[in-house]
Amino acid sequence: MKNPGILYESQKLALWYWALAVVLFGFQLIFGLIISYQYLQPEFLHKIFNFSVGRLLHLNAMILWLLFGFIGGIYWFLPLETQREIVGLFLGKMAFVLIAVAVGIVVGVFLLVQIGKADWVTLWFITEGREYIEAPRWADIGIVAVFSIIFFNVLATIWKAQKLKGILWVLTLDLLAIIGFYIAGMFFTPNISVDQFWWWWVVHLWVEATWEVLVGVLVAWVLMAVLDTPRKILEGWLYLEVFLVFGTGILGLGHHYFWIGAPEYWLGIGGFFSALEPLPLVAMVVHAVYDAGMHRLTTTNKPAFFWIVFQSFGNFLGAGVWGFMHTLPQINLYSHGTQITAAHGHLAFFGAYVATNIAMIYTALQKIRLSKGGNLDGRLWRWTFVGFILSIFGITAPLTVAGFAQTFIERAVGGSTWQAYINGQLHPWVKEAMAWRFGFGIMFFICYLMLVIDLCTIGKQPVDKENTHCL
Amino acid sequence: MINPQAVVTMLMAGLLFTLAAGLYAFFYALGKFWKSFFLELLSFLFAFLMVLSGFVLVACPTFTLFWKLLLAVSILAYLIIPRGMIWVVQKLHQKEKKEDLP
Repeated sequence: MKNPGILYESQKLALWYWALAVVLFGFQLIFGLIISYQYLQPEFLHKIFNFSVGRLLHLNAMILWLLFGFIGGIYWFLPLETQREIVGLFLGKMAFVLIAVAVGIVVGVFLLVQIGKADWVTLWFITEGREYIEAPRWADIGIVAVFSIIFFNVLATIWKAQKLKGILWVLTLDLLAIIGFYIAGMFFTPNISVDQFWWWWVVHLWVEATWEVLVGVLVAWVLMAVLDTPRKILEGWLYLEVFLVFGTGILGLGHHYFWIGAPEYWLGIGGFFSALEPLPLVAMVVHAVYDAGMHRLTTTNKPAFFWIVFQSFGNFLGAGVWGFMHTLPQINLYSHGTQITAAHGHLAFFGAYVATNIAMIYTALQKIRLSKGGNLDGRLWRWTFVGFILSIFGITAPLTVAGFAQTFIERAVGGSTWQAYINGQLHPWVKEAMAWRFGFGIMFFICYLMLVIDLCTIGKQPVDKENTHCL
Repeated sequence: MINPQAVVTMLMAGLLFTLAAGLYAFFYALGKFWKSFFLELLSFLFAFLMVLSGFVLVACPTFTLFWKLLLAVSILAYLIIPRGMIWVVQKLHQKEKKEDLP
């Protein structure tokens, strides 16, 4: 076993991934603020930085920073699990440099070139044009290559260490699924229905299946670090979670096939499995309550503890409640593509994935800054934690109200005509909601700045209290 | 053509249904852990609210018999899952405790 004060090389690499993730998080918020302001002042940056490009960058920056955060988590915890330095460290470092440079180039192209002709040059070098995964083909191949390197590193490290624990099994198989599903989104076909059919394999099966499982693995490691939860409990739980998430999430994919021209039976399949998709999230709430109670809310890392407990509730509310609300086809027929979807997306990603990444970074900071032991605590993280939660609900609530108004006025009453769309957009419940959303967006960005300050400073000053209880 | 009010009712019922399911699970787990009759009672109130919201959905004429059955199965699943999960979590912890004993 290595000296607890010394970091493995792969843990240093994890810090690089997290640093890049936090920077991209900031860019995501800046792009988000610009486009939410464009809802209020549509002429703002007109023809310089159009809404479509801002939205694209807002979403892609989010996907990438969350992924980098997860990769950081893998490189941080893997040597702790296998009790050895990872195999393929050079490859891992090279992949980091490549992906950092690639992100810079892709963002540069999106900002300066933005669009191209409908030809192969555009597909390969500007954008593939598929929503959420707009990256050009060369960058797609790069993403698959980077994940293949991570997969190799994980597998080779486990092989060398001869330690195939349950959590590592799940991680290895999940990484393979992440690579496989991404490749599904790289087909090109002129038939828009077929194209969308495969495209959803990436978007849905990443976010609602493989990411959920990957986060399950990372949460298990964080719980071991901050609550000292026994491995057997976590492993037993993880298997159950994988069963529930895959059991409901894979065919829950059907809720994206409702209106793309796929056969009608997808309405039934999608409706049935989507209705059950919140089940694992409800189960997670039970687990979080019981496990936190078993440990009497005792921890030496309060920020990580609070973020990881919030993760199960945020995941349930964002993905479960806001997802179920509009998932049945009879409802979705009217609510599809309204601001309800945006509300669901904002809360779900924050609850499930942002919270996990922040918890992991605080877990690492305890080891780095308090290697001789002690509590990781302070005042700023509390303000940040509460501020983030208030502002994300402040963003979600007006979007939900706007979505309800859109569903009612534009779709149910107006029958989706162009005039009905204009009527909906001009309704005070939609217009004012956009102003509230922008206001809370600014608050969210201030919380982000506070988070950055806290990450840079927490643990540098000794904490007076020896108290390890959270409440 | 559907009654526009019914769409909003369905949205609200869907939101309440899952929210109540989560609150039922939360208070049920808390009640079981702290052995509090009051918290368990509170959890059943949320379970009742969940069933009620589910019934609003089931009663909606938009849904055909297939969908009504599907919703009924969902209500049952959400009623059972907190109890099932508590059983699983308790078993896991008991097993761990037994293995820790010398």
